[in-house]
Amino acid sequence: MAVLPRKNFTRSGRLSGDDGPSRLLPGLTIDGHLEVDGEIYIDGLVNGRIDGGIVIIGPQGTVVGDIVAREVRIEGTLEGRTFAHHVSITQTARVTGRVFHHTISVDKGARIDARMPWRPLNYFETLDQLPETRS
Amino acid sequence: MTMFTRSDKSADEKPQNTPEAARTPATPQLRPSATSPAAAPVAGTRAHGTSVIGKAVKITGQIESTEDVQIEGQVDGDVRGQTVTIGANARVKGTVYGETVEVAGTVEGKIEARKVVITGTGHMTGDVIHADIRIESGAFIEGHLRPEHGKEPKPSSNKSGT
Repeated sequence: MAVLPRKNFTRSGRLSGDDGPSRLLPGLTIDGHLEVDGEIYIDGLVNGRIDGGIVIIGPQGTVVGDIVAREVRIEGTLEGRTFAHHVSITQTARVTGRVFHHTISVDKGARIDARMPWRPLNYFETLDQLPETRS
Repeated sequence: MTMFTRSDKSADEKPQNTPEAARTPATPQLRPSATSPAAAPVAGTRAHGTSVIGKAVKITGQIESTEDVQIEGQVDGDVRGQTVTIGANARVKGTVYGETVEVAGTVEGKIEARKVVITGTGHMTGDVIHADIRIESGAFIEGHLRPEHGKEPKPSSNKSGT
């Protein structure tokens, strides 16, 4: 699956004209599979899998499940697995599970109870089928 | 280079940088105008707004919100919210529940809301259960409009009496 964002969607958003990124705010819960062609900001709760270009878990956001993306920024809570070229984990983050990455940054203050395996870039090109791992 | 001379071990123990302290927002808290139960698991009192499911998003599953939801992408599943807006290019397959539901896009399934608006670009396949409905010229509706929102469902025990 291509995780690169497709820019400049040409369809006209007549109702809103809103071309901004998707944002899930507190109070919102999604159970299921999200496929994002671009960026998504999550300050709500997602149970399930997220495929995206850039996935940002805001300080109040929680994701329980798997994230597959080019870039993942975690400011909130992740329980599960991340597969991303670049992962940044900020001060307010709480991470449990596994963080598969090529490059990573972790801020002081983050709470992490996870494995963080490094993988070569081509590993992320073949992630249609996620590996089985035991948490 | 003083940063290398301090004792990092003791600095790590200091609680001042705990996540709790850092995640408390400095911004003033906005009270929601609507009655929102404190259902948000992490933060029921933070600033509220409309969650946006953008054009480039496809969701397979359920969406539930105590706040407003705007959908511009594709949803296969049910949507619940206060005010739910289905944008002109959006497509929802499933039931849309809300206080107010506005449809400018495509819904295949059902709408259950107190107030329903189908705009001129709206395309609705399925029943609409409402208490108040507005349909603009150009809208497509295939299904029943039933002004039964908020009423008791018809008792199915009638059959036993006959």
